[in-house]
Amino acid sequence: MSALNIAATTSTPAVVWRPETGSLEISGESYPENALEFYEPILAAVAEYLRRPETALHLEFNVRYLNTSSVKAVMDLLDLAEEAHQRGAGVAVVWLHDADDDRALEVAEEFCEDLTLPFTIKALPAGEVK
Amino acid sequence: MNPTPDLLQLRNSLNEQGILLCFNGPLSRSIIEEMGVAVRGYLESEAMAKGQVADIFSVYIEQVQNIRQYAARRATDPADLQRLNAAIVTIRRRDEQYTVSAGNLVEHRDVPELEERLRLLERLDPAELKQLYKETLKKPRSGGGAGLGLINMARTSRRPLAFSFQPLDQRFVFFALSAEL
Repeated sequence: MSALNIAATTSTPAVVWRPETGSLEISGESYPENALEFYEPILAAVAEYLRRPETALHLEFNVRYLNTSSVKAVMDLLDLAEEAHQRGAGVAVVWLHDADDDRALEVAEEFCEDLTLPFTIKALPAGEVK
Repeated sequence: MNPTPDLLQLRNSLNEQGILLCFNGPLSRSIIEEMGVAVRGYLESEAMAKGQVADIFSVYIEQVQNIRQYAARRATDPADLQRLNAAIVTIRRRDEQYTVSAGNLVEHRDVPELEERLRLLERLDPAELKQLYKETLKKPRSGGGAGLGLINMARTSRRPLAFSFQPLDQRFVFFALSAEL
């Protein structure tokens, strides 16, 4: 399985996927016109990784804004993680947001509402936000 | 003869309506991004709460991206695509209220469904809008587009989305949509 290292652009996030440790980091902004196209290789890589037994998956998000099609793609990703969690895999999600942005906090809270996997929301003081 | 357009008239019209930012022309991915950066920059310089900046930015992105998606779906050739991507986008401030508006060309045949969807959204309260948003999020992806984006705009706005349809010619209607934040 190959690693992913996607550089950020104005409207798409930086993505770092390390299959040796099952660690995915998505950071920056997410409002591509076609989010499905952007997230497809990431979803495919994580789905392939999760086919192995006893896998640990760690997702970390630090995204300032997601357009609705990105929300859909991220929800698909979180659904994969939730499924793995329910099968007994060691899954954890960490969601970082700007402490001063109450909308960003709401977005995070909505994502974890219907999930049972460990989901931690961390507020970052303004200086530390990417 | 003076080549300058009537800038004073345009300026007065924009100022009277409290329009802070206005774009008129064909939308492209890069224009959307660049305008987005300008919008955010402007709002941040107004020392606005980050949540409110996020709301305005979100509504702006959803509106312009809906127009792009619609144009891509209906265009019959590259020239037609350019015509369909043409939009007018404004951000207006009246007292402390911001309004993000966009106007674009919509074919007559698409008006009934769009109007029905907007009227439905008008009737829902915040809890119902959230429920609809979650249900739509769970559905498998369809070609559509003006689904989640429109619902999210309705959730973000303080009042129901304002809209109008003005017939232009045999093919097109001018559709204007506004979200008040």
